[in-house]
Amino acid sequence: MAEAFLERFFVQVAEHLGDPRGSRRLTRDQMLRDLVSTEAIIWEDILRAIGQEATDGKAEATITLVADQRFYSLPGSFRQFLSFRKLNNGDPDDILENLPSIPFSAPGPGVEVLSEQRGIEIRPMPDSATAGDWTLTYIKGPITLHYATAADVGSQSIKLGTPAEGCGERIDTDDYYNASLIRVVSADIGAGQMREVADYNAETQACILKLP
Amino acid sequence: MVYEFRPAMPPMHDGVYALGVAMTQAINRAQGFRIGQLKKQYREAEQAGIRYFTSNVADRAPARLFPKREALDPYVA
Repeated sequence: MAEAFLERFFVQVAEHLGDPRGSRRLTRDQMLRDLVSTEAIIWEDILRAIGQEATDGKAEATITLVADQRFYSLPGSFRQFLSFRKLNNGDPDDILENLPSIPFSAPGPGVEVLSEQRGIEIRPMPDSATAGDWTLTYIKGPITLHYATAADVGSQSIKLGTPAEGCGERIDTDDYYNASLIRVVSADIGAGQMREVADYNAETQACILKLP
Repeated sequence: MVYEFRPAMPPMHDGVYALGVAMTQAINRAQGFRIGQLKKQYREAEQAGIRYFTSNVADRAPARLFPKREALDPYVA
């Protein structure tokens, strides 16, 4: 069976420390906690280095605007706003409307990005004409990693399983895994394949995969 | 079928995460003799990974037209 990244990671950390007695006291949970902060530092360095030259980590999520509702949540791993567009029947080449990001002092029309936790504010207030599905394009941030046995596998989807202890954590927030890379560690067919997640539904734990 | 979510760095550069965590642990344990060595290895691995991303297209002019200058850019080491 091929090795998962996290299995290799745990071994490498112990080797780098070169202290067998001390390494035994270091738990997987401690290593996973430190991995989250290391991932964040490395991700920020990558973003700073690539600037606008490349769009690594570009993700999309659908936000449904409702008349007379100003505030909306952002996807769990949101990091940077790219665009907010209303598409004609989801066709990326047929843009009906585009809202840019705006500062807090601007009346709009536009999107004020508050923070990942606080979400976005649409100005002016959406009405029946602007209500409907909009596509948010953004750069995602680093995610909490895990590996597990899939609960179900379809031709273009994977239903995530529950990771065993010390195998990371599954985050059940809508769109959290969008644009993340999922790799088949072991399977009868397709081991080693890597695909990008197009959409994650936290309620069903189903990841829809992008076509290669 | 066993699946995994991978970090951003591609497989040939993902050893940088273990180096980062080992460095944090070495600092926590005050293992001075290891910190310097791990820091050097970490910087080299991270730079190699970042070069992978910045050079994944060859037909686009870099966004940063001028070299970084320490007096102006706090991120220059």
